[in-house]
Amino acid sequence: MRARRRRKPASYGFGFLDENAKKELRRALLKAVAIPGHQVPYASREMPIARGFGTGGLQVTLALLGDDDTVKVIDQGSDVSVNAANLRKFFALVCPGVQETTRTTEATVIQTRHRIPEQRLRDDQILVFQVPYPDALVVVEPNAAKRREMHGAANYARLWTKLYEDMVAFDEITISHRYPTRIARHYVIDPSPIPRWDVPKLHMADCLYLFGAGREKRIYAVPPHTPAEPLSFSDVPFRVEDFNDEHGHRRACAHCGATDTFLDELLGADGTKAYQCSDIDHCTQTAKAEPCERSSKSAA
Amino acid sequence: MTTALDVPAIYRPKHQQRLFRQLLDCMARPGSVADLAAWTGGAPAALAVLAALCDSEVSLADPQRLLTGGDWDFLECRQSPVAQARFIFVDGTTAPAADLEPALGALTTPEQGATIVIRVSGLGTTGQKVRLSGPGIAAQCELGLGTLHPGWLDQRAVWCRFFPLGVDLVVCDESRVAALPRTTRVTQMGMHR
Repeated sequence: MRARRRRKPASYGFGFLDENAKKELRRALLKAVAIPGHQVPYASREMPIARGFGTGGLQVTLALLGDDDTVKVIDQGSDVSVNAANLRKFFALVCPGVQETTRTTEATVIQTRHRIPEQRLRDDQILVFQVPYPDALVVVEPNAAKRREMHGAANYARLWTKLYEDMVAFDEITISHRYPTRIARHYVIDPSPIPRWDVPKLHMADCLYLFGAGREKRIYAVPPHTPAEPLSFSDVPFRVEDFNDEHGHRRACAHCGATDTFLDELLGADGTKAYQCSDIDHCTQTAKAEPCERSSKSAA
Repeated sequence: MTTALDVPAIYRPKHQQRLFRQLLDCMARPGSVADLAAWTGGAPAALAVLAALCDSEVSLADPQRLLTGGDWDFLECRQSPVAQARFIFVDGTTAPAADLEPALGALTTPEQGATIVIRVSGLGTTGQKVRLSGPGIAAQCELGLGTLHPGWLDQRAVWCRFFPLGVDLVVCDESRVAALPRTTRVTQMGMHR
């Protein structure tokens, strides 16, 4: 097979989008930050990837990036999956000067598909989420105009009822990801399909969280040091995924040995299950930092 | 005639990206003051903010006629009465005019509340001192608003009474900028010495 010819970066303006598109995104981003959790409409542009593959996050990131930025892209915690690697290459192609990285600590802008890095992000870092469904109310109200009214009035009664019905039917709130989260005690957001594990990281963070939904044409934000409370009842507290085995012991990552991270379940060819950190960079760094501790753990 | 070679720095894409990032940081962290001098090429910070955000898609009101014809040519935005403007540019050293009624947005479209860019001097260090709390601020912080007339803060409190409706303020002196989004709670503390 013939190797694909490398395209010249100069065939695009910096950041692929035209300046008017970037300005519109920037105005929407500022309003999104000023009204935490409110979904600001914007004219989502056609991008060279299909809608549903992260066009919202892509446009937000392109509106942010300057030639002094370092960008990291993760897909479910992985830097090397097709979606992440190709978006990262795209940034390098259309934003000359932007550094690519897989290290969380080095990045100034991180675009993510459905995870928040394990390592707490700093105040000089921005996390950009790719969002498929921006509206948490979509499960209880099909009419978009009505949903906007309900958001404006902070009327989430029907969402509470849905959670209550879950408790009645299943003795548990059955939402595994996209957990409705209340921002600054007003708007309830869909925090994109991050696992429950990541929801508490939205609360009083140091970094800025930006959410871009390309197909649904909405941008919203959670500013730093802002309360973000997952909806829950006073007698049924919110809880994250349980990684304990049948004996009640916390499972450890098979690679780095960490017992405080979100784990992916991997099925072997023979049907055996293994567990490994979802955040690859964090896992690699932990494994590098603690080789002695790891060997002692695996010996035990 | 102005050619592409002598377009003022604040209208160049690279500078506008840097200005925007500083502004985004200020909006996300009310009370923080950013110095834009490295990217304005000597232009006033307030004009730089407008340059970074405005284009032919938006309306701008300039009730005190602070902008020159040349500024309007470069900004490319539509002139508009205050009540309909997305952006409003004013001088903050005098009290707000009694008939100044910016758009506050609606319950379903609060993002249509205006962004008011206010020109003062001595931001951050002198003048009217305020204590801020709310989203973006760890606990609380203090900010000196320079020569900003206290009437603006009273008026802002009225405009931002019913969240999510309200206006967002961007306060600028010659080279520095700070933001007061509608969520920020402001307590006036008297004057800096």
